[in-house]
Amino acid sequence: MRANLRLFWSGVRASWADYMVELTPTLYLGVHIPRTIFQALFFVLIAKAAGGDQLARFALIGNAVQMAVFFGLLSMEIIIESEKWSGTFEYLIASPAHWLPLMLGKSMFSFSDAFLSTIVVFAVLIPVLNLQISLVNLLASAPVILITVISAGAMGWLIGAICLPIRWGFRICNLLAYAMMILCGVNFPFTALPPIVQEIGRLLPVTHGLLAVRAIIDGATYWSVLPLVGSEILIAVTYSGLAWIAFGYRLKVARQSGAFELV
Amino acid sequence: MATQSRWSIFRIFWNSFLLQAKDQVLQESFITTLLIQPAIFTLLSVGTYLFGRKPEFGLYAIAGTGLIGLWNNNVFTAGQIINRERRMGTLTLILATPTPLPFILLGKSFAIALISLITIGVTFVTGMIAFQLPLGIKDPLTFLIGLLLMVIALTCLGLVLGCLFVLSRNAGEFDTLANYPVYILSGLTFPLTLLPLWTRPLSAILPTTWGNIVLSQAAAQLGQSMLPSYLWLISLSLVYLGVAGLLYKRVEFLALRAGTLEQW
Repeated sequence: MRANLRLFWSGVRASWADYMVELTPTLYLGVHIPRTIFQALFFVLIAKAAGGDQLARFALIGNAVQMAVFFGLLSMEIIIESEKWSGTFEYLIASPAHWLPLMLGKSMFSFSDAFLSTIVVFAVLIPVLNLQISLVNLLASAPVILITVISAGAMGWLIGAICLPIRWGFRICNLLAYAMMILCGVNFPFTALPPIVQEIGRLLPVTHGLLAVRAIIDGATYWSVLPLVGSEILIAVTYSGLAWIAFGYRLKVARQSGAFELV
Repeated sequence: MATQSRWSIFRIFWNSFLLQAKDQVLQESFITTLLIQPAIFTLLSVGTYLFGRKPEFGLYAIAGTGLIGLWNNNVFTAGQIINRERRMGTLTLILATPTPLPFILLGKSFAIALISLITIGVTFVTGMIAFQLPLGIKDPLTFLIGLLLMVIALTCLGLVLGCLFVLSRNAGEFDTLANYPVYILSGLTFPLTLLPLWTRPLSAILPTTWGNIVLSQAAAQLGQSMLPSYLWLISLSLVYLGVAGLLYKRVEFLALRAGTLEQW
């Protein structure tokens, strides 16, 4: 247990070091944060043009959560892919230490960054667009947002595991994150989609979590959104389980064949 | 002699164009950024308008998402051209050859702009298939002229950015930052009237704003004169060319004085 905690902590430290190299404070404040705000603003403005302040409010909540989902989804995939690109994946496979605590540790700053993005989007766009959202309810929704982001991270891990032998993982995750804006009801309710597409949406992370977040922000109690939160947790567990199996299989094949790349 | 020189310039332009075009279609980003992403953006924006019971905005949103793809590919790839040359170790060699860098960049930027036109087709086809929107372009000639002027303007802008990126390794970050503000300021997929008045001058200096007006109006045949928008696109192209020329002289001077590009 202590060894696992130490591994987790070393992953956190590596994640922090990686962030500091990749995203200097100048880049973070000058590029990353503005980009996050402008991306959310763009989609909210489309909603405002389409349905006025009511749809803009709907889209703001959706996009603020989606920004965190975006980073959460990509972070787990990137952890796998970055090890591959850096040439360190072989050492990770060969090491007797378990990979899970290390990977979770490495994802910690991405998840923190994801959560911070949501806070920034809400903090900037609520006053700019003059939308009515209760701060107390918003704070109450934070744990559900966290569950939703973790759920998206599980999906990122699954994609990372499936895409390990190819070089398309990041692009697939990126496109999926945009597709989830349609399928999970980020800009407009997913119930407006054709029934078959709705069913796909129900099987994805974020859909139920986002419904719960919206309900809590509108004043619903935790008790009333329990089925939605439960569904989101169930989806997160299912995707994590599938990712565990897929990743374990990939590692087994890599150890047997001595290579993990097909192309 | 002059004819020979012009022929050489054309040959450089053409070879750079061909090289970039081949390189572009072989990249994996060709499928994602040119084919899949524009389709997703179309579904998202038109879907939002249909949900808001404003199907009349559908065509506007489709033209807008087409231009998003056009801009995205141009700016993104303009940055990547220089970055790739730098990483392959050929940027210094290109800058040191007697052929001016702008001619090479012009050919490459034009190839990107031309290939990016695919996104316009993708967004219109997506709109037709997914939403059964009547998307016949009412005034095809005006639409084509607008598209051509737009491609020229974006090529010239790509030239400006290409020259700027020689002196920076953060071209990728610029791409990341510039995209969404440009979509917003150009009113791509939503009316500019949603933005405060002080943003209008910023919108006016972007080719995408005028391209959006021309394409949307030509597609819907609103009967308004396109001349002001055409003139804006031509003027902006000339301004970008002038700025690119000045920038290149400065970049060349700095590079020659330093004797290296490694410090940037």
